[in-house]
Amino acid sequence: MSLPILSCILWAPVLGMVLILFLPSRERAAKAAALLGSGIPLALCAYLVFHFQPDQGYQFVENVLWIKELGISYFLGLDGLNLGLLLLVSLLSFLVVLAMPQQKERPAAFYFCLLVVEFGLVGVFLSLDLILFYIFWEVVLVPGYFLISIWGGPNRRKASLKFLMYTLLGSLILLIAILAIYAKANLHTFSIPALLSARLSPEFQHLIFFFLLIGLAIKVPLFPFHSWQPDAYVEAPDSVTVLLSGLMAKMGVYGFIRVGYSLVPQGSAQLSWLVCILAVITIIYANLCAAVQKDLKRMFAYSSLGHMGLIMLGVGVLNPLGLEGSIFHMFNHGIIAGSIFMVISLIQDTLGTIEIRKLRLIVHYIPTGAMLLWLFILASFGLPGMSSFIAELYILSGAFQAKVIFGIIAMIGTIIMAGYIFSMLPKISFRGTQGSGPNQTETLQVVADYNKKLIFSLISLSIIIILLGCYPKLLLLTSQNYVAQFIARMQLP
Amino acid sequence: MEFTLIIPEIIVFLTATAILILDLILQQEKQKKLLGFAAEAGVILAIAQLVRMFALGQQASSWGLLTIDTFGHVIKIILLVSTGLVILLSVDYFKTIISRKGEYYCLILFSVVGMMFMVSADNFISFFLSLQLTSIPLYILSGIDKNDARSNEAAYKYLMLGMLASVVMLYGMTFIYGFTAAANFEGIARQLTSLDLHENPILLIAMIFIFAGFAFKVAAVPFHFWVPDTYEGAPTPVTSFLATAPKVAGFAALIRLLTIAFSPLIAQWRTLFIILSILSMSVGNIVALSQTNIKRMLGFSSVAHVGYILMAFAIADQMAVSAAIFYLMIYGIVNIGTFAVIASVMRGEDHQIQGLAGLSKRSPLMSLSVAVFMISMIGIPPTPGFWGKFNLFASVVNGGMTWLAVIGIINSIISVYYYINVLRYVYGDQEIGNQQDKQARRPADPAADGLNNIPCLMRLAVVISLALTIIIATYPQPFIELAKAAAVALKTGLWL
Repeated sequence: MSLPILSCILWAPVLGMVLILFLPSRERAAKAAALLGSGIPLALCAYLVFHFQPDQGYQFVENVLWIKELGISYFLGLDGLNLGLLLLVSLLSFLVVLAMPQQKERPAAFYFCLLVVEFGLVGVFLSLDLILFYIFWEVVLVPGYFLISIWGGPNRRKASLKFLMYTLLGSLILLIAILAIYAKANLHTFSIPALLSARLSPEFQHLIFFFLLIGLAIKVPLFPFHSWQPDAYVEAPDSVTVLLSGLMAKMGVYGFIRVGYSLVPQGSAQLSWLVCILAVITIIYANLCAAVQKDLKRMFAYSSLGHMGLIMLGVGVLNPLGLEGSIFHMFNHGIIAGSIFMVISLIQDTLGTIEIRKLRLIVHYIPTGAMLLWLFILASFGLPGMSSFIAELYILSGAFQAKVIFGIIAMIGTIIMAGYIFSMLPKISFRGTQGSGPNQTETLQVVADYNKKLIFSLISLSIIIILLGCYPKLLLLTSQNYVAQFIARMQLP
Repeated sequence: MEFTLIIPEIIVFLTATAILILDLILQQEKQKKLLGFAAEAGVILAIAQLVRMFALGQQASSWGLLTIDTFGHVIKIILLVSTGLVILLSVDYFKTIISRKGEYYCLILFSVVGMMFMVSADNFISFFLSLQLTSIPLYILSGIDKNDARSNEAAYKYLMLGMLASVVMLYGMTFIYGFTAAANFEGIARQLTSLDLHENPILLIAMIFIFAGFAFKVAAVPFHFWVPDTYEGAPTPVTSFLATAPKVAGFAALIRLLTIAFSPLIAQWRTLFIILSILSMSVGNIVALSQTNIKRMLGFSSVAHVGYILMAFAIADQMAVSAAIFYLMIYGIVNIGTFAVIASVMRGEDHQIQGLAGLSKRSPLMSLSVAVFMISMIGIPPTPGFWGKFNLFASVVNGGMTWLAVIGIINSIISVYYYINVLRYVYGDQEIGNQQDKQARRPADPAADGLNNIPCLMRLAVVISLALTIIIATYPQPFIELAKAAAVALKTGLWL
């Protein structure tokens, strides 16, 4: 019997949690335990990447019946859709633990919660059983709430409660939809591959897709269900914002592809225009909001929302180009948004502010940080040569192929984005003369000792972005087979 | 009559009597701890016997007054496990508070005997007698701390309203007897099939009277008015007993009554239970939002949980009933666990939620347990509460009432607020903790309050509930099967 490698990846964070709980002097050892808990998945993922066969279906499958009465099984598997996301989760979680500055208050509990989040995320992306998927979906929720409400900013109470209640509403609606599919399919199983062949009436599919749409759109989030997102991103501690924007936001999109579109293909194919419309509204709305924000974190919280809109547009247009672009962009955007929030936290730590009005001459005070900020913001804008250029190209051509108007609106969103980043970047980088900044006296000394590990992580992330920008096939290839099958299934009568 | 079938009841009854005698022999206050252990031993012996009878899997046997079947065994095991936990909790809690410990254990055990008979009763006479045997000790128990004015108030309220409910119920039963000339459940069912409801509308009123009595016992809206005051005033272990055992027994008796005696009238009572369920969920959750006393809050939250369970009666097929039984198991364990934590960390306080501030610093085990129990009550996976709600909602959706499940879900969302509020204090941010510290006039040194040295038996009660919670969370299969076996064993025409 071979090593159950997916289970090892899934349960490694739990090992870290147990270590944190039972190690003596846990406050000091916590970081080491967390590094172990998030390092093992990363190492195993590297192994998976080399042994993954792009032209096959589910791989490394583990399927054990868990609750016979209800037909729930412990079913994990890897395919072209979740490979990139699994890689993203293990990479970003590891870097957050490694590089982000340690919390001063209760570091052990903080790392414990981070590991629970990683556990949940890996579980969501690997589960091929609806209930297992739902359980992990919720596992992410409670530690997420605690991370915001204990270590968050001044408005953490309101933001964390809004986050919890809003997303819990979404997931319970999702649960109802799952139960309804289970009841109607009458196969006595929650296994996703088995339910793909269920025969459901078109009217029922419409209704269920509507439920799924609301439940999942809250998680993505899509306009008009997005109001928890900027607050949560801004109030969360920086490392959590990295996870929220880079990883948790992908859960919603993944849910749309894995559950929504796959299980009720007819309903979703006919109602997909609704997803597209919500997506383009999200793109325009988020970018307009981002344009008027006064601090960097809030600006990129909205900008990240805009990117989620773009990814959903790629899913909603239901053609191979759009979907491949979306799957690719989920990985890209995870890395880029995560990096941007890491740089913002670097600026906050070294210069003491992230308010655009107060930031001056950052190229002078923190040259490396400023360079990285430029690089990642340009990457997020989609500069040619960066990975997101390819992804956006795919998504936009997919949108133009489906309906020209969607493509045009998405383009307008990108133009708005160009407007605000190119007015903001020069302002904070070059404006003012040396010594005119608010904190000029101390900052000059801080520059020397900023977080080396963070710079190292950011540089390695930027290498990934540029590498994928020049040679996107590395990742695009893995999902092609999945996309082809997916589209073929959608077009069945 | 075969007395072997009621050995568990006999064991519990004999233990109760033995405790009364033992209480006379043991003179020193120190030795009275033995009474608690004796009660515990009796309960464990009864559980063992029940498990043996369950494993033997005998056919249901009935002799006119009682039916002994697998359904009864399962419910009685739930009852006795929760009673065992309550007794464990009481031994140290009442070390100083009450002087008459013998009576305390004896009353709890008599009440449990009543409940065990109530679960098996298949006749109005035996049912009403066992109901009274259950209730009267409960009235005394809630006032057991006779030097505490609130405890007295609790007992008085519970007594007055409880007697009223019993009388109304008895009144309803007399009508049914008048129509059917039968007190036996199966006899009633036989007669009811031949009666036309349109010609005899009084039947409906009689049924409503009987349900009102049940609704009082399980604390469903609009018969829940005793709950907050009684829960708050009664000593915490008694509250934990009140919140679990009588409800489990009440629901079990209701299931037997509905599925056997009233099975011909299913269309009518289903509608009634939809209304009761929606009312209980909504009122319970909404009122719980504004509570500052944790025992009152848990009281209203239990009303909400009753609402969720009542959803199963709106469907009333085999899947729904087994989901309700499963939910009762989980509800019992989680609720007792929560009250055990409250009893351990909030002795001699006024039970304000703010009193929990900074608990995570004082006792990591207790705060972890509270977190698990609260998350379980919300129903977030992977906790038993999730499996309970999952089963319930699945059966409701399966029964074709998706809209009712949606109402249940909206209620679950509302409940998040007040459960999480508890955790906010427990793990809370420092500012809130400090702020509340000043307001709550807490003693400067918590050790002086005796809060840092939680007696080991209380700790054991919490740990057992936590362990059961974690076991059900990770491997719910055997418990689901148990609930299913119980539902299948009911001799009802509804799912034959």
